[in-house]
Parts: sequence; C-alpha cells; structure tokens
Amino acid sequence: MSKVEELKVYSIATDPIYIGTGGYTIGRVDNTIVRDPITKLPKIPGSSLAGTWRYYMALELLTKVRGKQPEFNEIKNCKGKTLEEKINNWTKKSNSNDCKGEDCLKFSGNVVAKITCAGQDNTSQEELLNSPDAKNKEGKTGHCGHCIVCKGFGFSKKDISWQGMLFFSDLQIVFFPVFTMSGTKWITTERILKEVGFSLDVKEDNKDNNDGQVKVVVENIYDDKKSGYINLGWLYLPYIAESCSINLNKVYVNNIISNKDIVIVPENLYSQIVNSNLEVRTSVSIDPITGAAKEGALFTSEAIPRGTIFYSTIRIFDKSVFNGIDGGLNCLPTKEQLKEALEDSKHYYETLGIGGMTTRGFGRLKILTNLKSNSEAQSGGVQNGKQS
Amino acid sequence: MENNLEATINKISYEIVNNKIINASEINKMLGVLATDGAYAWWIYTNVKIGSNTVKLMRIILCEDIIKNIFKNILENLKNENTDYFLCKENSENEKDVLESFEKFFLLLSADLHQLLFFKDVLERILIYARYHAKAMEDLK
Repeated sequence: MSKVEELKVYSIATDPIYIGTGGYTIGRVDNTIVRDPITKLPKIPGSSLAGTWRYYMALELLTKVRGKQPEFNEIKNCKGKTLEEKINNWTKKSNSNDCKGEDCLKFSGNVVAKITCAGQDNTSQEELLNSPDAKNKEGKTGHCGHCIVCKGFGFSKKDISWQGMLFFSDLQIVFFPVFTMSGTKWITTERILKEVGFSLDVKEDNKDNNDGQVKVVVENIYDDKKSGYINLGWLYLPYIAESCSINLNKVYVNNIISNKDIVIVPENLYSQIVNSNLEVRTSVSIDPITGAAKEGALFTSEAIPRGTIFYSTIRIFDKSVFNGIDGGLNCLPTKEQLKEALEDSKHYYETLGIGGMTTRGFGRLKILTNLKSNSEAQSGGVQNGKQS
Repeated sequence: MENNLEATINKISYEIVNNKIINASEINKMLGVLATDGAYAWWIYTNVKIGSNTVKLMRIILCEDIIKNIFKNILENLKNENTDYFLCKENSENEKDVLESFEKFFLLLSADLHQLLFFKDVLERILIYARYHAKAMEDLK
C-alpha cells in the first residue's frame, strides 16, 4: 500500500474570490490577484488553502472537545516518560469515548489542543514537553505539537520540527464561467481536462480549419446547428458542435452544470478569455461627516468570479513508519482520521471563506469532494459520443 | 531601441502622460473597458471620453517603428490611405479623415484574432505603465 495517498479535490466559488499579491505586481487594478507566472491564469495558492484549512480544522476540533479537555496539570501528573505517553495514559484512564462517534476526537493528542494550534506559533522556542501549557511574554499560547492539527499540518519547536502529513497543491481553474449569447457557459481547455483525468478526443480538424481560424468546441448548443458563432465575453468565435460527453460526476459538478454548458477553447485563447472576464470592483472610503467619497481613497480590486470550478490535490503522507524512530513522533493520526478531520471542517469554507475581503462579499467556496470517502464518483472520460 | 518592444511601450506610456493627453482617472476607466470589452470598445470609448486627444494618443502609439512593423499588414491594408499622413504627429489637419483611418485600422485589426489580442496586450501594458506614471505625477503635485 502506498505511503502517500492523493485526494482529488474539486470546489466551486460561491462568491468572487480575492487572493491578493500584496502589492508585488502592477496591473490594471490597485489590488491584483495571484496568477500563475507561466499561463497568467488566476489561481488560489496552496498556502492559502493550507492556512485556512488548518484554522478551520482547529476551530472544528475545539467546538467538539470543548468541556471535555482536562487541566494540563492533570495530564502532567499521569505516568509516562514523555508527554505523549502521559496523554495516552490519561486518555485510557478517563476512557474519553464520550466523544461520541467522532473518530478524529479519539485521537489522544486532541486533549491538549487549543485554538492557537492554528496560525503562527507564538511559542516556537518552547520544548515539545511544555508547549501545550507554555505562554510567551504576552501570555499567548502557541502550537501544542500533539493534536491532529499540529501533527497533520506540522509545527516547529525548540527540540523538534515536524513537517506535517498534509500536502496541498494550488487550486487551479478547471471550468471558468463566461457570459455568452446562449447564457452562461463554462470554458476549459483540452489540456486542463486531460490533467484532471479525462481522455478527451477532439478531432484535430475541429480545432482550426484550413485558413488557420481558431475554433472552439461545444456540446450541441442548438439541436440542429453543428457549427456557428458564439461570443465568449467580448470575443466572437466560430464553434464546432461535438458530442463530448464529459462525465461531470467525476468532478462532482453534475448537479451544477451540464455538458451543454461546457465550451472547450484553444489553449492560446484561454488565458485571454479568463482575464477578460474577471470580476472588478471599485471601492471608496466614505467620509462619515460629509457622507461623500474621500479624496484619494478610491481603489479597485479584481477577483475570480462566482461559479468558477477549481481542481486541486491534497496528498496525505502516511508517516507511521517513523513511529518510535529517535527524533520522530509517536502516536500519529491515521489517514482516515486526517480525511475525516478535513471533511468535518470543510464546511467553514462555505461561511468564512478564503482570501481577502471576506466580510465584504468575497471569499466563499464550496468543497464539492467528499474527503472521507473520496470515492471518485465514476472514473469517466470523454470520447466523442461515448462515455468511458 | 527600435527592436525592443518593452522600451517602446515605456516610451509611449511616459509620453502620453507627460503630454497630458490622458489623466489617471481616464486611464483607469480605459483599462477597464479594454480588459472587459476589448480593443474596439476601448477605441470608441476613448473617442467619446477624450475627444480630439484620441488622434494624438493613437498617433503616439502607432507611429513608433516597432509597432508599425508588428501591425504592418494591417497598416498596408488601409486602402486609399496615406499611412504616413495619418500617423504624422505634426499634421493636425482633417481630423475627421484621420479618425476614419483609425476606425478602419480597428476594423481590419478585429479581423485577425491573433493580431487583435496582441494589440490588446500591448495597449494594456502601455496603459498600465501610464497609470503608474500618472499616479506618480499626481503625487508630485
């Protein structure tokens, strides 16, 4: 059995999403969003996903263990050479199975978890033995180093640094919504579909015709029209209708969009169309006395629009082989416990969101994949007229 | 210099701001129209917004050798037009004719998708640089 399990994760933006570059790029707006440097396509960096998910997992964990955690001294007084052993002994002794049916709560290290297990570690100079109880000069605690959050996402202490077991990739756009004369369509490219795992087979002569004119491929828009023109934003392009039955079950969006909503565009146009159809907002600061816009306080931001469908991967590295190795950690969460913890905490993306300006209409995201079962609905593909 | 598009873009962006052809607010709006609605939409919007300065702006952009060279086919296809005449910065007569020539330029440009998208990219880059030049100049006031 492989030591690394890869989960394919699909999600949809339910608000415009803004992940800023922090002023490191110039653009047509004041607040530019993060883009892939090669394709110029907007994306959500894996670091943004990992940081928020760590926080949401800690939040979910804390809501469940609230009132069930002992005082730290009670754990310290238990038998055992290391704090891990003491925690395990306390767990056995107290038979803490009053965490009803929640597998991730049965992970013993969770008894010392704190909300500060998310975010930056305030007590990184403490030893692991003291870290759950340690406070810095301002009285702030840091990563405990024992709970599923710390062991899953990693931590760094004076005597040990732990890489973590969860590895996040960037969220890349798979289907991007564009307004057309036939309503909203979701554009993608052959390369992206192949990356996601579809065996797309678009006839070469349907991509470009003899005079070098660019063509896009669509599922039949009109029942009787095999070719015609379609506008993708401001670009007006010829299309060829083909029956490319993409198995949308595979990406969990079958109840959101249908095959008729998908347009496959040439690679060289994709970035142009995406960047022409981003959401742009202009904001002002209002002077509370006059009620008018403040001089010089106007700024513009761009965002990935609502309805964009993303693809990413989460790899879970089973480090149980390191159990007991000198300098390593004991008592690691299982893959199943980590998957369950991810699944249980993903709902926060639907309310608290990701990225900037989340209190002002931005940022909500729905993770479509069931991470607990992660059963790819069906391994499907695209073949002209046939579904594999 | 002639073979360096980036240097040409820098030069144009500084020139259009330094000659007060467009200000920061106009540039922001132009950028929005260009990105969302395309090059032709930008052209007609610019016509409405800055009036007679449109000709000056287009001349500054199109009279550079490297730009002329990139869009040579389109400029040559402007039938019955004297390209040197409507691109000449010193010639301020017959503005109506010159505007018509530019109108034809955009119609021909729209017929070639790759040239159109490249022109849009070049224009967007010019306006982005101009945007920051204009901001810096306003801050110096």
